[in-house]
Amino acid sequence: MSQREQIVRYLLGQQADEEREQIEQDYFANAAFLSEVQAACDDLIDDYLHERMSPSERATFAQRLHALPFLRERLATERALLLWARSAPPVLKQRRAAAFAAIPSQFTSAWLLPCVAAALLALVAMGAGMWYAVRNGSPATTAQLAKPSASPAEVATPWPAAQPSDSARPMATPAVAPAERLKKQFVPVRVSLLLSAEQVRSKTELPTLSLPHGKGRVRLQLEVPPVSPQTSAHYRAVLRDAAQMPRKRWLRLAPRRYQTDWILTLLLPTELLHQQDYSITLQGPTTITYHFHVQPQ
Amino acid sequence: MIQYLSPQSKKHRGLAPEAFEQLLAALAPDRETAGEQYEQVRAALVLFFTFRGARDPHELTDETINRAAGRLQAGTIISTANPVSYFYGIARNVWREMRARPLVTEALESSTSHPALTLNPQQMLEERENMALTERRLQCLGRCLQSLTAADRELLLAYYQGTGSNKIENRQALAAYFQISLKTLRNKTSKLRGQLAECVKECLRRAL
Repeated sequence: MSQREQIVRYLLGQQADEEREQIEQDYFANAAFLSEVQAACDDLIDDYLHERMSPSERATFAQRLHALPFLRERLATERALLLWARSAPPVLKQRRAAAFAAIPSQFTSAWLLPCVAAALLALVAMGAGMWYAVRNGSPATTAQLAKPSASPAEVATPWPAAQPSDSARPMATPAVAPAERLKKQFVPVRVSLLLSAEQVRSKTELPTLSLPHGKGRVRLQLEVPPVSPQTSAHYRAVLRDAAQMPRKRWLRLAPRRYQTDWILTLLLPTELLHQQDYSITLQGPTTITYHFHVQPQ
Repeated sequence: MIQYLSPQSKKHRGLAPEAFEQLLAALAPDRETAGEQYEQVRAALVLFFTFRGARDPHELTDETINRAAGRLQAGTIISTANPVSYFYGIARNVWREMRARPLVTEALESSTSHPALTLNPQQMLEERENMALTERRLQCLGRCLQSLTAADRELLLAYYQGTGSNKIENRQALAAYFQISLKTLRNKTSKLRGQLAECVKECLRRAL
């Protein structure tokens, strides 16, 4: 049995007491082995959350969770974090885009090609001039030609020395990342509301969204009927206010599966919502209308 | 300099500064190595108590460390080849004593974290309740995320956005992007997640 398999057996509580104690002693004594066990634990949780386990493995792990309250708590936090992360804009992509944007715009715009072409032409002309001078044996001319018209620094770097992009720096140095830029990149989700099929049926008690002050986004998660692989899973959605005026439309939304539920996530700016009743109508494989009430926090 | 002690460790719950200093000195002669060893002790203890089934492994970890520090102050010398192993024996005692305490009757928790393998009306009802709890948890998480620095928040979100089919490549790319090792990335996110979990737990407790 491989070490990894032994670790997994330990994590799943499938070992005899002696074996278990041996593993425990090993990870207390050996930092590298401790890392292995932690990584295996992370992978188990990850596989469980992403449904990458076989039904029997899943059942074993679910059973183990009953006996491990702290792990259960951790799983719940990770599930919430996953939901959150999926609805947030991709951080790494944004960082890379921001790093690219930090290059002066004239070099990323239509001027880029002419600039590069001109620099190449200048280099070719210089080379030809030097070749001509050397061939004609004129030291004075050679010296003159060898001296570039621009300063060496300018020739070496045809564009201004790029300032290190704040957004491209590692996160460990937040002091150099201007807060304003970070704010622009990260629009926080201030509040979430889950609208289930049960709430659709009960219009007497509308689910209420407590809207916090300040700019941000609201995440609405709509439970939709399970989607079969044969059906087109896309929906269109319209948000309407109390006067049935359309406030926002989404043209192509795909629900995601979370355990046994299919959830469709909508994000909208907090400024769009005010204290009143709203409805969201979904059109797709089925047509569903969800109702909710907004009140300031 | 011990700059990488976790938030929990910084509290040293109930541990006097001089006892903590003595503990570090027993772990390694230089403070930097001692700090690393201390982190390893904590991580191993949390893992140990988690998989023994403790409800609050951090509390028992603190108890173990406090006991070890107390023994060191009383003149005990760590004789194991690896000082970290010394804590294993104490941890087992702490766990044994914890198990021997009279049982406290607790309400059964709703099965929030494990999925229903087959659905029946009762399970469906539980699922609805779980959804409500998930909703509250998400709200709490939103608040707790705001308590992190922008950089930490981004790191954590990027880490969780990089899960899925190509998880390993994503994590490697993330580690490379932030110029840290995969191990550091995992440790960092683990600490942040621990902080968040504590915050969310407290938030949920207040909401109920």
